[in-house]
Amino acid sequence: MLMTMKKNTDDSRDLKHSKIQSPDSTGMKISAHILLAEDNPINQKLAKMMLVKAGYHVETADNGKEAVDKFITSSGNFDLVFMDMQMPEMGGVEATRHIREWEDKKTTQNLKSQAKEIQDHSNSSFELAAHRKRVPIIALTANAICGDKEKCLEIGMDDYITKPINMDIFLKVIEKWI
Amino acid sequence: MYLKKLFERLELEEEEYIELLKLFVLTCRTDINKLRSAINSNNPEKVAMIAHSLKGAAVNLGLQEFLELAKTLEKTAHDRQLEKTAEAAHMFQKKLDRVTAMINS
Repeated sequence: MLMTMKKNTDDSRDLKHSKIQSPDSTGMKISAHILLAEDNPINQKLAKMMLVKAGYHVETADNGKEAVDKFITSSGNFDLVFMDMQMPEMGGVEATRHIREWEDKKTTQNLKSQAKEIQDHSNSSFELAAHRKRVPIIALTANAICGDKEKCLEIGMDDYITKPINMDIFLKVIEKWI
Repeated sequence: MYLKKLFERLELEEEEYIELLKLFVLTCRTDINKLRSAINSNNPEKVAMIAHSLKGAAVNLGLQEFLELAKTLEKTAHDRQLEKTAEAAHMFQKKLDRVTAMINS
């Protein structure tokens, strides 16, 4: 059976990027939901302060394992992930691998349920989409080593920023990926 | 320490930066104690790991003197010159004391 797949608003609800309404001084504004995985408490607090000041909703994780758990518990409901590379218990590389595996699994599940929906409503004219959601994961690295970007892309990350962090760097990378 | 320059560079308010400094002092004191234990048990790898973490915090807060000392801690640990590491740890501790006094004043 030949099927044309197109995004369906009801069935692919969990595939959409979440945009959370948050109040600011000018009224309501749309703000992205960011997962920040950083083990160093000072760096975590600093990064969170900057991101919150910029109007983003931030959830923190103290290591890679916690980041994966939070990502999965929220059904991948983040717009972007900042991932420190060196963390105890589980580092950024492994955490990214787990997240990408979960996303692939989720996409397959959604495809199956969408295909079933088409079969169940074979007389209706609506079409469904196999829309793969991939949340951007941005590495936080300590050193700008040559080849770092390639390494990050290889393991399923989308980009990287080097420490020291600052507001400009954060805003530029968020603007690029959200 | 030019506090104004530091918090302005990060586009933070003074109170926010002080809050971070307090956390820095608290965390570093714990780390320096762990580092001393690692020196005493002759574990340069662990010393270097702790020093690396100290370096990461200092660089983000723009604390240049702490950064230089953390680099010395890390380098001497890598070179397995733990006596020099202990000296640098002592200096790091003294600087922490000075920052604590400044915060409390």
